[in-house]
Amino acid sequence: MALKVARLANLSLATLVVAILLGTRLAFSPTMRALPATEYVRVQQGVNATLGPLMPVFMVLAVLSAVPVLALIRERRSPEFALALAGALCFVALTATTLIFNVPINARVDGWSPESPPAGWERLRDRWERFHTVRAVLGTAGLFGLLLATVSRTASTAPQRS
Amino acid sequence: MLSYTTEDDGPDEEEDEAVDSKIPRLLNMVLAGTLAGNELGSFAAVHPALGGLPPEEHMRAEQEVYRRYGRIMPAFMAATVVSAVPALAAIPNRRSPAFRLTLAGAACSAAMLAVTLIFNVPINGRILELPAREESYGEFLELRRRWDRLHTARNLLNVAGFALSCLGALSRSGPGPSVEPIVGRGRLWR
Repeated sequence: MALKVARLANLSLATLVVAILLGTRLAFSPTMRALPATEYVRVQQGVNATLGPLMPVFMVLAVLSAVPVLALIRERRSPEFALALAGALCFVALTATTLIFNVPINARVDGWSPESPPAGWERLRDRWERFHTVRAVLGTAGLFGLLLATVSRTASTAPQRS
Repeated sequence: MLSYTTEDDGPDEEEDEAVDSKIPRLLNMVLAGTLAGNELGSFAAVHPALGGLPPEEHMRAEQEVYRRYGRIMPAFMAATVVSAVPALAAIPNRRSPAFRLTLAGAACSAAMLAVTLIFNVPINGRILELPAREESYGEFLELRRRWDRLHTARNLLNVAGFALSCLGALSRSGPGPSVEPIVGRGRLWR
């Protein structure tokens, strides 16, 4: 039961993080790319104000919630453990990408005046979007890893006809 | 030949459910979670951030977001509701907490889909029809206010649906006999 609760907490947090990343990547990013400079800065600052403080917390919790799952899997050489570890590592990489690349860009954009963004602001926007795509892909891969780990446990423990 | 799971199988025996019972419930839970997270993201960040734009730019940006979500969300919402059917069918005991909680989660998803189709979709259509000009902005804001109220209701239904499907996945799916006969990958419940 402990593994089940740990796995559900981990999967729930991972799913929420991936959903927000994928949703914004698929539906919001193309809209942002079409905005002129002043409007882009205003909207990005608005998004940073709401999601900025929340997302790193969700991401770190998604990573931390993988620790009890890994600790509770008894067989360290099983596909279940390998898949859960790969999934967790994807979320570590996702969180690192966010903290190392996206967060500093957010901080710079927050410091801009919407009326006079610096020259070359599009380069920074495109760079942010590239890392946003990277973390959406990492999150999706990580979630698949966690799901496959859950399924592989079930498959390996399902009783066989003999 | 029959094989058996018993109380002696270890502390995690509840987790060791048949694979064909677990996958549909897992899929339903992940779809409900992805939908809830996606809608929460748009509720908490996307629409409030766009609200700070000047009128014409606000209308154009919202119309673009509505168009894009409009391509993704119908299939996504329908998949979440439909995925509850195999998830429920996979739970052998109709009186178990797992069945009741998963059913309640499915009812929340179905209610969310009904709210979307009956109320949100017509508003989306009207918002997309409006010319992105200053004189349409009053009607646009009124439509957006109604849409936001409905979106709040949908978010509550999504979060409740996700929470219930998680609780369903955590709960016992059977009456809990001490010895459950299993043939191959199917279960015979007594």
